[in-house]
Amino acid sequence: MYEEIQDNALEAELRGVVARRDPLPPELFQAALDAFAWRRVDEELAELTFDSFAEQPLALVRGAEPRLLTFESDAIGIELEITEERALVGQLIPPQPATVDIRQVSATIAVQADDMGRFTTGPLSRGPISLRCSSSRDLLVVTDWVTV
Amino acid sequence: MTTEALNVHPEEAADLLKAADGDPGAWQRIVERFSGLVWSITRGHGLDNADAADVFQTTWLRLAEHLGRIEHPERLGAWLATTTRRECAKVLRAIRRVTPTADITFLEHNLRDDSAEDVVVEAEHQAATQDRERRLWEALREMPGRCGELIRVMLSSPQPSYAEIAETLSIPIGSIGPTRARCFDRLRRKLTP
Repeated sequence: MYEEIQDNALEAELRGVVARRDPLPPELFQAALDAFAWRRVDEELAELTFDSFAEQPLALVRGAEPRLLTFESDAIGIELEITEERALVGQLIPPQPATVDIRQVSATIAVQADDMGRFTTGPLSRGPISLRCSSSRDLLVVTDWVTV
Repeated sequence: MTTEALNVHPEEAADLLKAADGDPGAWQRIVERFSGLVWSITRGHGLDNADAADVFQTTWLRLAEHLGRIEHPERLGAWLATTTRRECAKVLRAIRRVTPTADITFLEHNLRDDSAEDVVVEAEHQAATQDRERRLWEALREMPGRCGELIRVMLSSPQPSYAEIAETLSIPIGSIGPTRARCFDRLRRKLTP
């Protein structure tokens, strides 16, 4: 009983400490509001179905460890490698040419997937990214957002 | 009484449907309800400012894309929590941080200290209070794993119920009380020099 009263007092005290020292930054609250503008309208969603960083590492490897991702929709699969420098190496499956928009909150860059469905980028800035693939063959797909 | 019955939130499910239909007011209510929770989970994992901000943003962007596809709209809080936790784990993996809380830099909000010319007693009292606060904060930051996460989620704003905490962390509701008591004991031991 006495412990419970003590614990409640400590919790109230901690609540004050966290509210003063580590509140949600207002700019992030705003970012969450702004995320609504990125909702899908016409695009099909390609969901993240594999992420090598979601798997347990076999050993704690130091040094280069690229991250491998797979996104899948009914229309298309996208294999993506994120290098340690945050550059992208991608492959559309089935292979086909397409415009690939690399979407970040701050900016979107467009690259072309070649006839073999391959595309690459230079190093990206850190933060969430999502790809948007479009082609003349009625393809319009966006991927899940991932943090790079 | 099952936890399931406790955890159904029809108003949140309704807002989720409205947001999927393009209603920004419904989206704003969802953000107001859950942004503090998402933030607390990133901090409970010991992520620093930049990593916590990235995960926080990724989680909300994910939700925006998944509107209309959430399998159990009445359990939106659990969906957001799971998404955030997975993303935290990947970021920790990406930076190969072996001890998650070792080198983090938190926001240090400047505490108001404008009463320096007050009477000496007041100044001393304040110094003691600030010292206590600083030590509490450090002890909290250094809480590892399950304890750190539980306490941060418990302290998030708006304050979650035990049912919501259970849902968020995927733990039995009956385990929260004992875990809280154990974690607070550890915290107290850290405070005593």
